[in-house]
Amino acid sequence: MPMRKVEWTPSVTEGEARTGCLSIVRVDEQGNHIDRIKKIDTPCFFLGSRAGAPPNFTVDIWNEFKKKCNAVQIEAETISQFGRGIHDFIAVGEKQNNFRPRGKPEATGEERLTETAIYLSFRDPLNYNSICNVDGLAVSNDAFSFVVRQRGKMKLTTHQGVKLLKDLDGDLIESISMDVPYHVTSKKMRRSVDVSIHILDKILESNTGNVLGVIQGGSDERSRTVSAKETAKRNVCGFVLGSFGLGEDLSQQSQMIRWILPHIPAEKVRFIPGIGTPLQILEAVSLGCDVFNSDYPHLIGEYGQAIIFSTDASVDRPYKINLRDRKFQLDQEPILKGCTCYGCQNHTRAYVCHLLATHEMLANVLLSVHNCWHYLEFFREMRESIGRGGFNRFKETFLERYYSKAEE
Amino acid sequence: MSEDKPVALRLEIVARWGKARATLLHLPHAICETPMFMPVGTQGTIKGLTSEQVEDVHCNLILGNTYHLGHRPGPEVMKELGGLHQLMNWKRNLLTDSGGFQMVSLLQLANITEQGVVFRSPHDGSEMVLTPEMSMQIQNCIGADIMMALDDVVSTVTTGPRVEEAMHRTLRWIDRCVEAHKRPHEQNLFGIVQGGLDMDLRSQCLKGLVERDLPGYAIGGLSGGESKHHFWRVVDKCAAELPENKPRYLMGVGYSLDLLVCSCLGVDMFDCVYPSRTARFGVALVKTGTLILKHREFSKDFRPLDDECQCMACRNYTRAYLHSLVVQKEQLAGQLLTAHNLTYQMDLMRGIRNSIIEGNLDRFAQKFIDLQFPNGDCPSWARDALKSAGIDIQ
Ligand SMILES: [Zn+2]
Ligand SMILES: [Zn+2]
Repeated sequence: MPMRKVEWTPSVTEGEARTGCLSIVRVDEQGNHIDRIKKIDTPCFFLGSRAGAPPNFTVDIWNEFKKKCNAVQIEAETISQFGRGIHDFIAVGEKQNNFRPRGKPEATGEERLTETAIYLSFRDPLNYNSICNVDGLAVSNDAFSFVVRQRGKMKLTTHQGVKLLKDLDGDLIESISMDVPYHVTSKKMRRSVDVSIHILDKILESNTGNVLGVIQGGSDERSRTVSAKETAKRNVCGFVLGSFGLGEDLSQQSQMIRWILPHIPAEKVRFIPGIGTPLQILEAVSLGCDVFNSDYPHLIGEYGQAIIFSTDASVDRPYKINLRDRKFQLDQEPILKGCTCYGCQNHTRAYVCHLLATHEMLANVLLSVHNCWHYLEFFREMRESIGRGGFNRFKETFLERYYSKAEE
Repeated sequence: MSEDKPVALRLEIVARWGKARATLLHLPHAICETPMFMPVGTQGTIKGLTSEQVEDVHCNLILGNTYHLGHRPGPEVMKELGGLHQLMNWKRNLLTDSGGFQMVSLLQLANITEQGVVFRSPHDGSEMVLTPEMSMQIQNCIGADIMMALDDVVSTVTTGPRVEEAMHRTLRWIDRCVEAHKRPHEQNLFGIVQGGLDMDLRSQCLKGLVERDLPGYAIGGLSGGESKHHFWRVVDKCAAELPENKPRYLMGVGYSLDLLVCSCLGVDMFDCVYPSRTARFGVALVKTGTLILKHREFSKDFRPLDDECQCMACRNYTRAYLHSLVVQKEQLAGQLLTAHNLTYQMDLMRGIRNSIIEGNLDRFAQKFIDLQFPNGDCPSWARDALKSAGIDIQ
């Protein structure tokens, strides 16, 4: 039976910032390369999912997104009941070809590479207030915020967790680990490292090729260093920088990244879930992080807001607009002129304003679509800037325009 | 049809089977095949579906509610935006109700006088009146292809002189509506037959409306808690007496058995919030009845909702996945189930239509009843109604 293996190939670097290509390949039991099934350019953003699909995204909308983003992160518990692997369950992978937007032919050859890669994690990708809380050898259910809400308490042993990850058969697997908020005792930070390494070893016993090791240790430099070194010794395909977006400020964020990166090999992919504002992203990319995931673009939409910022210095545009504002009720322009998202191609600000005023679901759909689209566009522009050696300028321009007056 | 009266529709009868008929209803934005079901998009949207997704269920006409749209965004904004088609980017047909029914059903304090429907503003509590003229004015701003006259609605369980009063008032108001209607070349004004469960009053009202030679007629005031034995007889009588060359619309009816029976009795158009509302509660409509997806039995059921259904939910997702979305109260569940339920309704109506055209409506009805009532427990009213339509259910 072929197995999945994750590879990352660097392309251009500018300072510490780097572009590359993340590939999911299939290998046979001897480890021989069969074919490449998915590819993702980095730096990139994985859309978070609830129950297997980005919130509000029906399959036709999701298909449109594949031009821009072909990875989705999923918390693993939801689909644990299913016996045939996650791709089948949420109707991506093989099944996704059954439905093509009108007038679009079946995917073939290279185009198939853009099919959604699935990233499995035990942390709820759309609710970073909940942290992955590992207690002893049991993963307590505090990790699955909406599982707690919907199904009541349940505990999962490490053994069960490991088996679950195996059964789900995702493309990338984040090792189970213990997140700690920025401000906890250093004893707890050290413990987060021990527990995380212990579970990583268990997971590596049954999964190979596509496991990412999680580096923990909170805000303690020594713990972070130990965690990074120990994880780097193991047969992981890449690294997850854990416990980010849990109370640290921007300089603390950078500090923690700097403690970690020198101790892990440059030729493997670096994932940093939990941080999401463009400011945090630009900072982390400048230090060498590759893959991001947060609820940021969805969250903005939940406030009735649309991000419309421009990375082009010659275009003067605000960072975002609040479409609940009645001043948009006669505005027949799209959310953002020139934007190629479904919402902007088909609807006006006036309509979104009306949908928000009447609390209609379609408002969330259109705002999620636009905000995710615009955000992914930002990542594309960022990759291009690194590619032509202009990332520093890109970053400075953006910060000057949108953060000098503490906008946000 | 008199030559000088402006109309914006044309009805072409394609086939008949007993009392039933299959037609092509030519409306300004698309040709509709009847019998047809019209989904309700109260505020200018249907449960999170994009306009494109609504088109994908092969829907050519959706409803908007005048009461809601008149409140938000309001007639002035609506007019300035160029109407509801423009606002929601919907390229096919729209129908709006008069606003009166919603007022009476949503606002406890509404009551009806000769002037109009008197109600307290939900904003500031001040007393306001929805007159026939105002209803026309708002509906002209919304710009739907079909608009409904303001009628005096009484509950079907009401009896006595109030029913008669309402019937007469409905006739007086239709003249005020016709008079106030400013866009008869683009928008079709339908009259509504009232008269409760009283066959004579229904007949009188119907005759009065037909004399006014309106573009189409609706059967109103039903599906309000009356017994089904009364319900079908009123539908049957109205359908029989309404003119052949005009569309017949049965308001607020959308359960599948009702759709089948009333199509057989000669009704062309139906609307109901049921398929989209029930989707929100995690219920899928299928040929054998309903699937309540929150039930645990679906957590490991990896089949689609319906093997033959071509909707985006059935082509992509398992019942188990939909179960998990429903249990987790994901909005996506509502979107997918609405798409499925609307597809189910459209498929049912297409099935009825095709069997009228192919001349086997009786076999279609029998098969439908067998699937929905496998234990032979088809309600007696439905048997009676179908019998009167020339169909003997075994
Ligand atoms: Zn857009
Ligand atoms: Zn379906």
